[in-house]
Amino acid sequence: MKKTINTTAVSAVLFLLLSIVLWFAIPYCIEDAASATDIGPRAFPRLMCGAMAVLCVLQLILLAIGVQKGKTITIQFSDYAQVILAMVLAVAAVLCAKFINIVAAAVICALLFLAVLRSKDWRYYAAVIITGILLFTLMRFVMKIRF
Amino acid sequence: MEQILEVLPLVFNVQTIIGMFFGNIVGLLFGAIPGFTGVMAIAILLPFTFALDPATGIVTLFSCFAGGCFGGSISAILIGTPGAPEAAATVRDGYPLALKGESYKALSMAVFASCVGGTVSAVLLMFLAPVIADWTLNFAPPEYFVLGIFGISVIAGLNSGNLIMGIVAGLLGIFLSMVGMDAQSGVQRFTFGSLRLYSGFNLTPIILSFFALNRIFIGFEHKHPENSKEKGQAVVLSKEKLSLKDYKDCSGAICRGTIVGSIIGAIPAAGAAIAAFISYNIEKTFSKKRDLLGTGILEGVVAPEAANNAVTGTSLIPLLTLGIPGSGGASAMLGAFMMHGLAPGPFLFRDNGATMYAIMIGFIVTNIILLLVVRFLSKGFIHITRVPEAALITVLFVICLVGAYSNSTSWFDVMVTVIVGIAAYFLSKLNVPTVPFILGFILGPTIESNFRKALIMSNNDLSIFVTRPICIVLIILTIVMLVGAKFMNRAGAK
Repeated sequence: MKKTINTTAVSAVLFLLLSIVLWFAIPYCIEDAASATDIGPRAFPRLMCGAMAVLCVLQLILLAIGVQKGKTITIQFSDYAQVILAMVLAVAAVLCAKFINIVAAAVICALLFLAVLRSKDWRYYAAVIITGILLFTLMRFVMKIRF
Repeated sequence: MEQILEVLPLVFNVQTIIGMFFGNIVGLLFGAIPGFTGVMAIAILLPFTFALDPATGIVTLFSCFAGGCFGGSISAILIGTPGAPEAAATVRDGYPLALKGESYKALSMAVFASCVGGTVSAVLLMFLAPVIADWTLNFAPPEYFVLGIFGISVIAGLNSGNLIMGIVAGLLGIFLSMVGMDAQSGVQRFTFGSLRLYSGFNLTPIILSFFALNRIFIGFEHKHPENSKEKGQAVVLSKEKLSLKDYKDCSGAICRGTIVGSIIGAIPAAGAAIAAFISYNIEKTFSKKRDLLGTGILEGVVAPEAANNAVTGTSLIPLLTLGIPGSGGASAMLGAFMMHGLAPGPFLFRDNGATMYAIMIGFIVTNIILLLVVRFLSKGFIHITRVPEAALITVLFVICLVGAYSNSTSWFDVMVTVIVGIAAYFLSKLNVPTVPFILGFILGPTIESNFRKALIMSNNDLSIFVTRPICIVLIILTIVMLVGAKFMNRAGAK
């Protein structure tokens, strides 16, 4: 399925929503400690959220009245299937790293990446394993990092 | 001068020299592969430099930066595809020269020009940075706040082409930097009771996710791993030698390129690609062989090459003195300085004089080492452009994850790297500029603390930001830079 989207408009809407959510989250996530001299820890985040929202609205107005056209891209969702799979594998690798060695988790994930990319050349698999071994040696014996 | 002589042993030791060779080789490799950049190389190498002393670590990363700047020219000359945007101008004469059977000549002269440009630029950095840093001692919190906003606005305007969304990305970066304990009040912000978030997000995972993991995910968009086999139309490296006449003929172009690159480098956010194109356009006006440009002449190769490497040193002047990086590469270098405990600004040279002079001498030496590395290893670099992307991105993924862990041996940092990497991928698909985001994240704490200090100074009167002379100059400079950038981009495009 092909779809053409205006990335400028989509990103402006996303950032506008994000800034609104953050604006309303501030009282719940930041304790008020304003004093007579200091504006406190809430004011600056509010200023940032407000500025983000104003700029996003301005961007949307510029797009709406035709002053700016914005960038458009045509995406075919099937082209991104491998990217999504790679992201899922990467998250799974990090979760695995909680229980097994980080180098081992990264190497296993990279080998699965190669399988996803349908690579049949054994040298690529060997390169990943050798990289893992070299990094483990470097971290354990040179950088003295404990796992 | 005495200070310079004192720090020579810090530069000329085995560890630093090996670091320079290694950094140059890694930078050249990343620069030579189309789609990969020297910035990505800095991001990936960054966590592994923590074990080194600051001078060695920073010089290694700068070597990567300089190598990455030149690396793009290897593929530009030998396969007619620029490995990086800054090498795009080199293709015009570099590839035709290679097709004429003078590839080695083109490559040798290109690296010589890069070495001259890079060395002159590093010398300028060494002598100008401390002077400008002394001047910035006049800055107070209002000036620092306006300076931070100036940096983000200029980078946003220049890098993205869409100023508004660039600034929004910068503001998001500032917002993310506020997670953790507020230094002034001790209040927790957006930590949700998690101890891991009390000190906020580390910079290494953010840099790795935006500059490296994002690119790795992009690699999965290609359907077949063997697609890069099509890059096999490389020109075989010839064996002819450069004569004294060649050096003499190119000297004018090298000088002009070096001057253009050094000036443009010092302008925040102008960048090496713009410098290379402007330098090439200047050759079209001033070169004796201007009619032959584009047909494959050495002057057309050396002018952009001298310019793009002359940017490397002077782009660090605003970074080291004002804390404002001039490009994506300089942003990554800013992160590297901060993580090695060297906070850019007026006190950098006063508090870390020896380390800073060692670093700047290292910058000069590494440009000379770059010349040697390319002269002796150029044949090997051509093979790297033929390695399929599948092999590269999987190996880089392992290095990326392990690098994120090695920073503070924290599983949480690895998780942050992957999650932010996924977000960075979607943001890049939406054409949201990433460099202003990184800059906002790095400068966020400075901007906020100076904003609050300035308001304390003025009893909450916001006019303090528009009434002080330096603030007014910075605001005018922001406007001039944004307007000037439009013209420079047009000149580059022509």
